[in-house]
Amino acid sequence: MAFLNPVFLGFLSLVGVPLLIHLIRRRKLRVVQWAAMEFLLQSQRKQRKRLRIEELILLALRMLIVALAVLAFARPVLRAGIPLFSQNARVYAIIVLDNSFSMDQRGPDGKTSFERAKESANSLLTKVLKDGDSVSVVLASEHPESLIGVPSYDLKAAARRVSSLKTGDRGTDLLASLQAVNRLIKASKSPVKEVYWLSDDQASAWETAGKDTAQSSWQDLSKQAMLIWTSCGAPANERDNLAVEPPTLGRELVTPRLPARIESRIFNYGSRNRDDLLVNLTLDGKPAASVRIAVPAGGSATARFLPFVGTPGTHTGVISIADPEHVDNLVRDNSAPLVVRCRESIKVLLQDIRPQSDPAKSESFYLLNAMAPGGSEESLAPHLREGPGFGTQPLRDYDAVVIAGASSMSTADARALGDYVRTGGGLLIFPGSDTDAARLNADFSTAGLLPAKLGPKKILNDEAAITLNPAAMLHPALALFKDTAAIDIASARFTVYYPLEPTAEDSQSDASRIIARFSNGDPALVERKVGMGHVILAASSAGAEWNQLALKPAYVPFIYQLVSYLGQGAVAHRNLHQDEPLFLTLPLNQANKPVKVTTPDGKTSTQNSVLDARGVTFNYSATSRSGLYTVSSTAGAPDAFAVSLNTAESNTSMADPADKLAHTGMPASRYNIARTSDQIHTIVNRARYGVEVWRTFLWILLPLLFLESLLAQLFGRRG
Amino acid sequence: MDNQPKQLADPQTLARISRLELRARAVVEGVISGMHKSPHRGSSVEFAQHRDYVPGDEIRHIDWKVYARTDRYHIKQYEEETNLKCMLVLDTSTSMAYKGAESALSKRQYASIVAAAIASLLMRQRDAVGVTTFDNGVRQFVQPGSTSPHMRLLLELLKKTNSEPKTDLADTFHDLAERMKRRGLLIILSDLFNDPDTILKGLQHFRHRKHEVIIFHVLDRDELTFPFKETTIFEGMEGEAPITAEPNALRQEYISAFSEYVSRLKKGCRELNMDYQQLVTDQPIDVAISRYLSQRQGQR
Repeated sequence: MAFLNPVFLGFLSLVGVPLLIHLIRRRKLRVVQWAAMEFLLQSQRKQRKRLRIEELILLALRMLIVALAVLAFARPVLRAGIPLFSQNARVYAIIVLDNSFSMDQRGPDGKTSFERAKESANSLLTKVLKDGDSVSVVLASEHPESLIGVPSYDLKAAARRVSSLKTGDRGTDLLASLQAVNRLIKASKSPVKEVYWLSDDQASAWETAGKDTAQSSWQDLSKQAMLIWTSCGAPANERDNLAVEPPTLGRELVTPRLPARIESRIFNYGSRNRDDLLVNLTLDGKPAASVRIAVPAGGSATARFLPFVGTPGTHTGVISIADPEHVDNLVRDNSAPLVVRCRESIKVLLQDIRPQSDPAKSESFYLLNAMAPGGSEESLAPHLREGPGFGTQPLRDYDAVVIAGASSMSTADARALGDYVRTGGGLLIFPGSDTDAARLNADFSTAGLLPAKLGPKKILNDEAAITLNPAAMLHPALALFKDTAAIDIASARFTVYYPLEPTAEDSQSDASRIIARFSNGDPALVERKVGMGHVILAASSAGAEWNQLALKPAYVPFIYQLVSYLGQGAVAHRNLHQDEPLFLTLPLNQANKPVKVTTPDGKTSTQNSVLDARGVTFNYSATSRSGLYTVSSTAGAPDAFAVSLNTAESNTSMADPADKLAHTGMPASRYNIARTSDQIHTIVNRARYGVEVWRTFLWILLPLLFLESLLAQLFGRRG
Repeated sequence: MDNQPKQLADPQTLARISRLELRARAVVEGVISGMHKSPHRGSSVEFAQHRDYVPGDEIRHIDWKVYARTDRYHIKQYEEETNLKCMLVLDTSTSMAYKGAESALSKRQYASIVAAAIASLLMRQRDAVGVTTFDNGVRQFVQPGSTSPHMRLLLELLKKTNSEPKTDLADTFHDLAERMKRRGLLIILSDLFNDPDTILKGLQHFRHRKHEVIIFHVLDRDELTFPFKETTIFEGMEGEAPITAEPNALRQEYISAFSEYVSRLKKGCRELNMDYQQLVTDQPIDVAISRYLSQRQGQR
């Protein structure tokens, strides 16, 4: 037990007052000359012992009453957060404000979680903290940010800064924020540190912070600071939310004759089914398409669109749930931006290393026919180059390169191809009958372009022939082959192929991934991202010698999908995740010219393009906000790109902070939870000074006073 | 109030009492005239003094010579005409000096006035009145007399305030009984703070000598109700060791003990065929005496 007014403890000496009064009364008693002494003696003789006991009881009772009253004035507390002798020490408070976009969810009171959090923060800064206390403010999200890093003693200025804050577009990562807080705590010399964490208690935020590995970070915090967790979110039953996932574009680059393949999953993080949800697509501000989907409670459904975008150029679009402002309490994730680029055609360089005169044995024959059926250039504009080497035309003039019957290549070709892919080119490699697996592995590996090593060629007899597995078509470009009712890609039999061993580990950023498999489980296609571009290596040939695919109807869409997918990589990606940098290649005449970027919230910034080995490039990395960005240069029409939200944040379902904090390994005495903003004052006082028990003392005092009166009356001691 | 003769013989008090008649219950020795019943009728011939004739006086006692001279009836009084010898026995011990906060008179003052009133009353009837004071023994003893100088002597005696603590009342009463040779009326004015058995034993001696005894038990209201509230040191007025007491705690017990003592006294007196009358110092004196006399007249 400690005391908030320990000075009052000095008055405990007042306990001696009843004793003193008792003694003084004995000394200064009224004296009466009395005649009938005999009767007095008689009665006193009988009562003397009882009187003595009663006197002692009353004396003890009165001393206890004085003691309790003094103790109550001293404001006794149990389990004080601050040691008794530090109670006048200055507090260093770190206010951790969750500014993830889920904090925009409106509660039944009409306020957003963030507005409530700001009110709480303001209350802390103006009422709880006192002059002389210092404060830091951390904005907690996936990328925590110290709004006020160096402890500030100007609480009013801090309050002003907090009141002007807005939510970001990021998700929440408690662990990252916790580590940022711990760094501030560690840097502070203040003896009394308090962390006020204002959050909406989102369950998903605890994904990393709730793990055992995060316990040491929580314990570090609890060793040095008191944590006061304040729930600012909407009640658990008011958190229904619909969310539009960032759209998946089957192809980012389309042609006027090639429709954009746009899909977006709609999530229902709520408790009621949405059986007839209208989802709209607008392109360039005009309604382009609508679908109705049924989204079960707690589940998701996909909205698919196949719009033709019309004219060449950059087209911006939005997928949104109908009536996005009112369909739920969190508006931000009810729509998702997208950008589609349209060109007259996608230029493809088709290199046939060893051309065959017999069309049946020629791989390029099948490939050319697949890309430009009947010789007409539709969306894909293939250019055939026969023999080794890429010729005089620079590779950057092509959107994709397809090598049929790949084998070794010269160092110069390898370097050119490597540069091409790294700056965004797409490369599709088919082995052929003249492929030397060891040389191919070596040359493409040297160029950094090998998605998988070719193993020893496998030749199967007809009985053992394998097929492609439609269920394993995981790549967006190949998703349409999952449905075998429309196109049965599994009807093609494969008898010769190279087993592929992916070269890079999955955990690496340039990881190879298997995007199609055979029916025996061996990889059929392996993709690797190299720089800005992509490389896809096939296990079998593009012709009809090793497999029947080239003879099947599925061949044309298969090649079309792969090439148009790779072709879009030649231009910069326009649909980005948060914090993913925008990379543009510009014409040579745009070197060192200013490029203006307008962000979704209307802010503009200008920076110059750069001329380097990759040509003239423009790199923009400040893509923390979601929405549409426009890029203007003197090169021509404005360009655009879309940055999507992290929709993991859309799942606003609540986790009880009491449960979560209990699993952090922090001692229960080192953290407190305020369920509402109103409780914060009480909780803070309790956290800071412990549980005040003076009321209990008074409650004990009252019956004691009553008892004293009663006994005094009974014992006849009332004056 | 001081024990001034004037005050003691307060006319109002006397006027009130004169309407009543003091009647002895027992037949006392001596020659009586007037309304007193006595077996000895006017046996004394020694002239004492004249007094005014009052209706009821025997005509043979009228001094015709005086009538001839003054044209008024005077009765010749003789020594033996006094038909009642009354001894007022006044307790002057220190305990009688108690005067409660609410009382105007101490017990001693109160008793003195009562004694003076009775003496005055009796003397008007030509009865002989004597006074005995006592504390630790008989302090002063004046034989009954009925003359005016005697009355003044008695009043002077009643005024004296020297006192000593009481000792054994039985011894005092025995001593007094021995001194009173002839039967008479004894009026005892005392707080009787002594062992009841001892007191009764002493009184028995008077009874044995055929004295008629009236006991005026003089008490202060405080002694009956024990009204003190705060813790008090009670110092004995007769040399007892002081007692520190919480009055509220003791009151009930005290009142109970006191009542028991009074009851014993009353019962003892009744058994000895003596009158017991409690006088509380806050009562008007004349009322107290009148009430007693009315009561007594009723008994006769």
